[in-house]
Amino acid sequence: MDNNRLQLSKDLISNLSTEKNESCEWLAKIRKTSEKRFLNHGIPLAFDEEWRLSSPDHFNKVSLCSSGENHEKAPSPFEKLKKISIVFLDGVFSKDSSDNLRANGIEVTMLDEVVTDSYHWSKDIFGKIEKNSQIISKRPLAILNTAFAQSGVLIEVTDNIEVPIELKYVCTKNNSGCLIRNVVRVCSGNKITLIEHFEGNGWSNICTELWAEKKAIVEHFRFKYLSRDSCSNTFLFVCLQEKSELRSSALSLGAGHSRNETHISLDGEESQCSISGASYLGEGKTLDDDTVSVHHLKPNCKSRQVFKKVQRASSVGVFQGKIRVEREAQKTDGYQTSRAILLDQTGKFLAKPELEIFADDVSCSHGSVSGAIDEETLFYLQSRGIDETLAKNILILAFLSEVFEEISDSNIKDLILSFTEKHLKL
Amino acid sequence: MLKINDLKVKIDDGAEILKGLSLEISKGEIHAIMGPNGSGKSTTSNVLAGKPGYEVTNGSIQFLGEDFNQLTPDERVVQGLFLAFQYPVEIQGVTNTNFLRTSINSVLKARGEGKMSPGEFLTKLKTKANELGISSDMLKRSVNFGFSGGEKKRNEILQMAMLEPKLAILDETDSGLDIDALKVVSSGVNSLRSTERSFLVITHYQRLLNYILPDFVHIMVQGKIVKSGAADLALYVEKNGYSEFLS
Ligand SMILES: Nc1ncnc2c1ncn2[C@@H]1O[C@H](COP(=O)(O)OP(=O)(O)OP(=O)(O)O)[C@@H](O)[C@H]1O
Ligand SMILES: [Mg+2]
Repeated sequence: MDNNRLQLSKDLISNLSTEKNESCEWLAKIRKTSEKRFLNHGIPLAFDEEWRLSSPDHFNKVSLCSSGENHEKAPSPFEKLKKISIVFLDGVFSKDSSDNLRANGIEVTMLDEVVTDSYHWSKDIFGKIEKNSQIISKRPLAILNTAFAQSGVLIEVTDNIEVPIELKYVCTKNNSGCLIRNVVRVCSGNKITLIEHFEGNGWSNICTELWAEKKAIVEHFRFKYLSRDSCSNTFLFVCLQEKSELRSSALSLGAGHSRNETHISLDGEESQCSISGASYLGEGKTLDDDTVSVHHLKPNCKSRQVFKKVQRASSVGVFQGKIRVEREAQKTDGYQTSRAILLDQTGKFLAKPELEIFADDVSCSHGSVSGAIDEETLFYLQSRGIDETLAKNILILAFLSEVFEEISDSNIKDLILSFTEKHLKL
Repeated sequence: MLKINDLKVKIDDGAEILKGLSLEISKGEIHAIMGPNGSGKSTTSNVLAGKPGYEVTNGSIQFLGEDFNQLTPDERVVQGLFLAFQYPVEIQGVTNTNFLRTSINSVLKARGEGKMSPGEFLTKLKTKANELGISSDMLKRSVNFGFSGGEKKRNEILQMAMLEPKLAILDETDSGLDIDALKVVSSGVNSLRSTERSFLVITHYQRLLNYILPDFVHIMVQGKIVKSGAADLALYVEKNGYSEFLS
């Protein structure tokens, strides 16, 4: 590695510490080795293959100042949803803002509570799925998270849990930030609905590793409602065992620089995943990046990716979607589509679909389209008395709602739809 | 009600399509326009509805005394214009019912009138849909999405019936309709006839005019009206074709 990158990487971690969990030997060890792994990889730079389409600068600027101040609450689509909320304020678990975490079917531990060297189930998962994902695409900022996460939650799902679990990350100030690491294990045959909710400001790097055992079902929803100055890097690493299923969907209605990296290992026969995302960020030079990789390791698995973005003036939308099918993964069914509406000629959408197929009996398809709002359709709406602004918003909602159709939890789907309607003043 | 005077219209890439069109429609009248393919009938209706992409180089369009050319498409609807499209657009992801509700409430709001209550809206919608043989399933589906040609045309008439315009332009609404649908659509139109409401019916077939009896028939050739007459002019061109009108 060149010296420049190494120096930058050292600078980046000079203010960070792996010592958070010294009292837990296995965790301390993982963190130490991850620090080395991070320095081996080095921070991402603009000429790296994974960063050709979006600049890593903002994501590299770690800022972990915590203010914990009161902040103005943003509207939430989940206000009326019955759920268990786990709230982090500037990276610190806030017991006051969170619900009672004792519920049938789940065991919840805070990352900094995993003390002593006694056995904890997360030992076999922590950092492991992240590390495996690096085979497909390099993600040094996820290694950074493994090594230096300040806080997070470990959730073991031992029975079906009907109420959704909401992980809410609030950054209160411009210069506040957080590095959060969650690990979720869904035991055989169980189901969980997990919501990740991003609100406020600041810099964040938040990583969730999810281990789904045989026949487990995971519903995941990510909602971003961040300010224009925010920088938000998320990672979702999932390992799916036999006949398990992941349905992950997302809506971003606000962020300055946003990159969502998702990696799925289909590591058991007949497992399946659908990953989708809709986004419509604010005015200005925003970046909205979805980088997805799906790794088919076993036969008879299905994967599906549906991404839709609306770009305003001078904003950039990025979709990188990789499907890798190993030789053993016969009868793979892979589907990928990404589409964007450019509301203005200065908005951009950059897509990089990649298929790496080593098996011969597979069906994989991908497609990517972007363009302005269809003039004929817009005129049709106007010719029914609907003014141009309203007509455009109706078409934006219609465009994004194809992603909402991917949400299988009908409560969440309805809430997201009506929140978006309100957001668009419909 | 509508006064088009010596209208010349170019499309944005240069060709002149309307070459001095004049037409006057008074309250309560039904006018029919017939003419060969490509003579500018749809262009006329698009220009009246305010579709972008056309440039008016001469003449004027007045609707109820107001200069129509300055208004956006939606403002024209607020003034009382309605265009039933020759090729209605499919809008995936917007349900027919929501579309109609938004349309009506937008128009009422722009007119400074209160919204229609949800109950009143649904009752009216059901009644009109019933009259036009439009199933409740079609109301729940995306606008025109996957509709058959005839269903789309019926849906246009439903929108017209809901909006109750002062002047309705029907651009080949009869094309693609089977004989029963033609009767249903015609009676939908006839039930809206009044001394206050006018129609401009564009068609290729005299048959439609048996059901919707026009006061005037105009023959349009190469961007202008070359002959006007009473209802029997339609019978005449049906028999003799347009050759004698082509220069
Ligand atoms: N946007 C456009 N670009 C190029 N040519 C156009 C455009 N719009 C209309 N034209 C041309 O203008 C002429 C008139 O078209 P228009 O659709 O008005 O005809 P019409 O009388 O409605 O014909 P039809 O009976 O086939 O519906 C045609 O030659 C058509 O090709
Ligand atoms: Mg036509």
